[in-house]
Amino acid sequence: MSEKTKIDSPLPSLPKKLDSEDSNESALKSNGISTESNNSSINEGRTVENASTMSNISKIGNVQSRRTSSVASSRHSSSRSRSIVSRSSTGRQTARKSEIIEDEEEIFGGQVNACCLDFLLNELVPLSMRVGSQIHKNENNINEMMKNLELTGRDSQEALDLLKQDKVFSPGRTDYLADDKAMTDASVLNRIEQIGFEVGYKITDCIVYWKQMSEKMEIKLTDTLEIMKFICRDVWKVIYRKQMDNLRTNHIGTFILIDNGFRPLLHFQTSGGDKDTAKKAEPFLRFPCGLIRGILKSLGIDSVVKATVNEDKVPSISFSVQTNLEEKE
Amino acid sequence: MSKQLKQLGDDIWKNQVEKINSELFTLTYGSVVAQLCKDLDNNYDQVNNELYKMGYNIGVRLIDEFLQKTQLSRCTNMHETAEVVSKIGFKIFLNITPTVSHWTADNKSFGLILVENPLADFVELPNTEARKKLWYSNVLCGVLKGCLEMVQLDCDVSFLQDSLKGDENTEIRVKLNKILKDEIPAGEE
Repeated sequence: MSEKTKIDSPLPSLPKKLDSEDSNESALKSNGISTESNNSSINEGRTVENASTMSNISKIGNVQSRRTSSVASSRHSSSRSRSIVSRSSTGRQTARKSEIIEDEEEIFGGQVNACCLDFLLNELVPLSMRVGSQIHKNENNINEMMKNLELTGRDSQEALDLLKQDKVFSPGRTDYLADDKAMTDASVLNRIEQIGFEVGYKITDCIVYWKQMSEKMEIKLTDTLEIMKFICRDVWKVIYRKQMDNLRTNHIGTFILIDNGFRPLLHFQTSGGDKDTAKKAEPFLRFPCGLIRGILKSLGIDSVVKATVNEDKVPSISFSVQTNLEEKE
Repeated sequence: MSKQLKQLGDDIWKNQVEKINSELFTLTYGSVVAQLCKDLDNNYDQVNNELYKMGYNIGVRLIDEFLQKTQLSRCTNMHETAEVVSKIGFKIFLNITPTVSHWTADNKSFGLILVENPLADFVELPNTEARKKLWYSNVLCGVLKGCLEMVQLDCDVSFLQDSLKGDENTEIRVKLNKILKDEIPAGEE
């Protein structure tokens, strides 16, 4: 139930439905921080172009070829040397050719150490828990401030805050994993999944683009099975540097994606045995769930994704993806 | 000395490091910050704080990776430390080499000027309170703090200016407070 409502809720930082280019631009600018992924330096034209790609994508559902071409043309016009002509459909062929010969740096952007991303993803769980308690504290603070207004000075309040702070913030330790309440708190878990969703929603374009550039062929994501293969093969390779091990489907919309050695949990172990380990691994699985959901959403498919640890043996994970939501109802 | 360090940093980056596309990293970090701003109701002081803590947590672990890859021994003074941080630390993790500058007279405090910043690629801060208060890349300060503390250097690390805010440069200030003593962790005698 809750998962369904999450899917329906509009994505906060991306324009969902846009009518004109003008509104595109303003929507992008007003959405707070927008991290955009393009290869060129920032210029005004790119912002508009990028926004129009997004609006194209949000409108899709059946016009797959149009989407991929719009990705290509948007990328293309974002590269510095290009003029606006390349956006027209006639110029597309020549545009693609000249793009290919540009050097790798230009196409793929820079590189960073893979463990930076690993560290970052690993910190999402404790971060989300801290934020959860911070929000809670913010609410409490207001209440208590009201109460303490006349009675006590600020000192006791600060001392109390410090105490709470210390409990939550224990750097370099794994104490937080013992906090059962926070570990199963829906809002904490949803926050992690939401970040995954955003990344998935935005990264699809990039991955399609990188793949097309490196293999010099158009990839078609026309049916759900193809998209699932795309996730297993390409997405997983980009983010986790390995492919999924197995993909199963019942051909009516349910897919099981199995990864027998899920990278972030490769060395994950607790002292409480397999069962305990599997339980504590759960929050770390919310990011890839959100990721898969985000990618499917960006390709026009609503889904529910659940991850389970296979027979309590971390790091063997299976993701079950349900995509036929509407037909069922 | 400085040349050797640069060579070492380049070598490690080239041969020993598993690399990923920086856009993926940028995007993920951006999503995290955006989510934080939303959750904490645009209270940017708290956002900065959370980013810093996250960085600190990363830093205390990242140092292991650093020491394992570099096999470096102790630095003899802060000048050497600064060079190592810039030419090897930043190089092997983010593939950038910040410029070390603005030493204070007592040789305890220096600035790292980031010409490029992979975290902030393609990022624009909206012209609201965010631009005044948010230190978008604050995670870097936390990471430096955590790393340096793990090698017995108790430092204050903070952003001095950020080009995202319209400043001229992006500069991180590192100030040495004291050198910590090697101590056996409590409960492990």
